[in-house]
Amino acid sequence: MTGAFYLPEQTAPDQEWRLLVSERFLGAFGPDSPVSLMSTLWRIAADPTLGLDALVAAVPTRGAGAVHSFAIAALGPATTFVVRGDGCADIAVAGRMRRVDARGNEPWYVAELQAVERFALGPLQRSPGDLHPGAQDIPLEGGVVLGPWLGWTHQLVVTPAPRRLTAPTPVQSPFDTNVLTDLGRRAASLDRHRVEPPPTAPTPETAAAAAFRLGDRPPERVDAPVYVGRQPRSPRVTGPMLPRLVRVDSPSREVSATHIELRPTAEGLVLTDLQSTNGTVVRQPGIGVRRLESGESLPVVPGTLIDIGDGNVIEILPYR
Amino acid sequence: MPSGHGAITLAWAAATDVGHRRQVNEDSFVVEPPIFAVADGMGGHAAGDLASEAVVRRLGDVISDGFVTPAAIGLALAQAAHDIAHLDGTALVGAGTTVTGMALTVSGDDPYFAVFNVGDSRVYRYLSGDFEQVTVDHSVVQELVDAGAITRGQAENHPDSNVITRAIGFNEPPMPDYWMLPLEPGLRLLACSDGLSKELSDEVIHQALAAGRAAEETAAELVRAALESGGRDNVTVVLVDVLEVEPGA
Repeated sequence: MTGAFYLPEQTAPDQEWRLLVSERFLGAFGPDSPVSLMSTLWRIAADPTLGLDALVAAVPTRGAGAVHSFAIAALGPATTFVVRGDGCADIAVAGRMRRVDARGNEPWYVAELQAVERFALGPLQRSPGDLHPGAQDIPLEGGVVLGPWLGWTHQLVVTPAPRRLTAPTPVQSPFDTNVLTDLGRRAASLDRHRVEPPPTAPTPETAAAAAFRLGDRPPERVDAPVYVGRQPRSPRVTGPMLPRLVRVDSPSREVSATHIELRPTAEGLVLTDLQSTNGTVVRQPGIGVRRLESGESLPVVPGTLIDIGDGNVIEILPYR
Repeated sequence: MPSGHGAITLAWAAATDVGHRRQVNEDSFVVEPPIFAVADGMGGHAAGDLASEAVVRRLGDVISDGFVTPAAIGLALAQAAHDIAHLDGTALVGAGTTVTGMALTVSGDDPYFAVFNVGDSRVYRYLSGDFEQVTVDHSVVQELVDAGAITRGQAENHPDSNVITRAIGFNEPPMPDYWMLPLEPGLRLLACSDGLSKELSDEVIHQALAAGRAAEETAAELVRAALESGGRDNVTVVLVDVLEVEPGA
């Protein structure tokens, strides 16, 4: 018995959150979370050797495919909540109710609470109620489902009601007043979220998503800056999106230690020669071959071949 | 262990001293693979030592047998910020700390040090004659240097030299910078509080790292030199040597 439950209610697709339940983790991920991500998260959540950090790290928070809102709870002696964007956790703890939300913190906000009795994970724009399972709620033993929010209680005593597939009960207005007695600050935070919805990042389906393949290695999606070289290192990076470093063999040392950067942007991939000693040769489909000067940048499209020397050729591919 | 590598052999050491002027050592450190870090609790603020302890304790929680992800470091720092926000009696004055250090991590099949920094503690890198400061201070003076308003030389005696622009605590979400450095035999990384870097010039630190003495001896020597140079602040150094990186079969 995981203690998790939800209301299997039909809602508009843009209000359907992805709800994940495993033995150790509960999570509600915003409607923009792709299904492929959910299966990755499920595998991580089910792997006893991986912790909360691995789960959180697997959720892209920048660039193409960024997930703008989620709320994750890691169960344990203390319960750790990680919330982002419009995701929040309403928590009954020590007989009191409180809400943990990100309040604009990037990439997420973390809170750890002792003696948590019940909680619900979901969007900010939701009245938490008393967080007790209702008659229409059904328990969840594990897996990923769609729903408006995910509940959890220390002692689950819900009697499963027959699932109602038609005539769902009227949904409360998404902008219903937050019943927490707590603080104008939270109201301000809610207002901020309403007035300034986060800008929509390109989804993986747009042209911006790309992958690369080095020689006969398996293709890799570019969702963070990639540095390729003989002994690559990254420049200063701020934020959670850590670069991918790709080391290549270069017996004759034609390849510089950190030779090129591939950076995902909203408009597509940008290749930069990082002041390499021997330069970079680029073959662009329909354009031909050109040599990048040391330090020069160039947008690259799928089909482009990038030769950095010593037989190391990187091919840009469309993603899936 | 990444599949491309057989074994990684490290040596490390740490040394700390309260210095000649301060009553309390507000620096904390953690040296246990895969995490090596220094935290400098804010001088003059209440509970600076508790704040620096909180951050090394959270970093200590992610210690594992092998490698950590940079995201785990980010999470530990965020948790530490939460802890610091809830330190008893600090709600009004606030408490905070710097933190800097290096963590063993993996990208692809290759091992790296993820160097991380918040504040004006520093990581220096030494490898076969090359010496450099890896981290960039989050300080008013560094921002003035970046903006071209003052020179490096003017920065050294600037009246705002102790004003930092980012910290863990003070009710701010942490904003660490990261650098990924490949593990290479002979690589030597030094993490230190500003009690070292404000007392010793880059040249002196470079000489100490280049002298070829063992980690423990070098760490002790650096602290001793900072004390001789004035010891106006707490001084803490953490030193890691990469002895071997064995390619796997």
